[in-house]
Amino acid sequence: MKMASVALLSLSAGAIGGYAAFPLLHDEAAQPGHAACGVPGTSRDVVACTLSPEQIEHLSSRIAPAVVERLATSGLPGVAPDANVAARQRVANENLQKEQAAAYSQAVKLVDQMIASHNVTPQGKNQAYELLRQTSQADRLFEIEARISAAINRGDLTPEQAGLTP
Amino acid sequence: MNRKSKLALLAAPVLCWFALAANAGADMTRSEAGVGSCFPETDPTWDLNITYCMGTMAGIRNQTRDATRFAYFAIGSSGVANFTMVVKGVGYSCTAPSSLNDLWRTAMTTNGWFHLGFDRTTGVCKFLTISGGSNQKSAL
Repeated sequence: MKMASVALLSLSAGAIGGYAAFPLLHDEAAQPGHAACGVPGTSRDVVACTLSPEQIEHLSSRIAPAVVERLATSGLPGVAPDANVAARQRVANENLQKEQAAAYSQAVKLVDQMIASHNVTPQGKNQAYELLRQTSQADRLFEIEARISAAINRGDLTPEQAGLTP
Repeated sequence: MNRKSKLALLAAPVLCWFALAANAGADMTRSEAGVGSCFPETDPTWDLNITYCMGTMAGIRNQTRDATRFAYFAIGSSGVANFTMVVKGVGYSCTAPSSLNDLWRTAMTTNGWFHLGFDRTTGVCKFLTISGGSNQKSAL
């Protein structure tokens, strides 16, 4: 009888504790800086959030402008329709792409000029590299260098002229 | 001539052939195979734009038939890795994608064999294999 009472008391204490702790453990939306999100029904896959224009702008810097624009003009419940944010992102992205394309063309031109003059210098290559680095295209440095390799394979340039000798 | 003598006479050339063949294999490993070569892919079922280069650093350095021959692995502060080789005055070169950088660093100090393939037109290295085996140590 005594054992049964203790078990019942433990069970009750656990249930009360769990009930009290649940909102503290699961209510992330209550934290500052978070969007107000709810979990409709019991599904854990579908989450509805109400985003402010600032939050949309913050997110838009991390996802594709086309997605932001679609989201901002979708009229979905919880999304503040703000086409201006998406449009600004689109323009900024287009400008960056133009800037990157121009820098890459300029870098290619520099290297091709060095190949044509049979004199590839470290300074010239660094200048081409810098154009790519300044426009966040460091991952394309090897494409520039590969042009020099291809010129050697064509016989347009010797390894000595390319500065690729021991 | 008794039967034993006849058998010995017949066996002698066979034994000589085996001895010569074994010795040729040893020479191939020690001096010939490591001297370095570059050649294009000729099998039309593969990519005919690929050129292969292979050898050992010591084999290339120690060969005496071609004074122009060298092989050169390089990687710079920009993170761009190159391979350059000259055989009989003809230059071969490729630039490696950054995914091969670690292998490039190993290739620069290897005592074993290197074998790489690259696209002649784009100048991009496609693969690099570095190998070392007990039969290849003699190439040093």
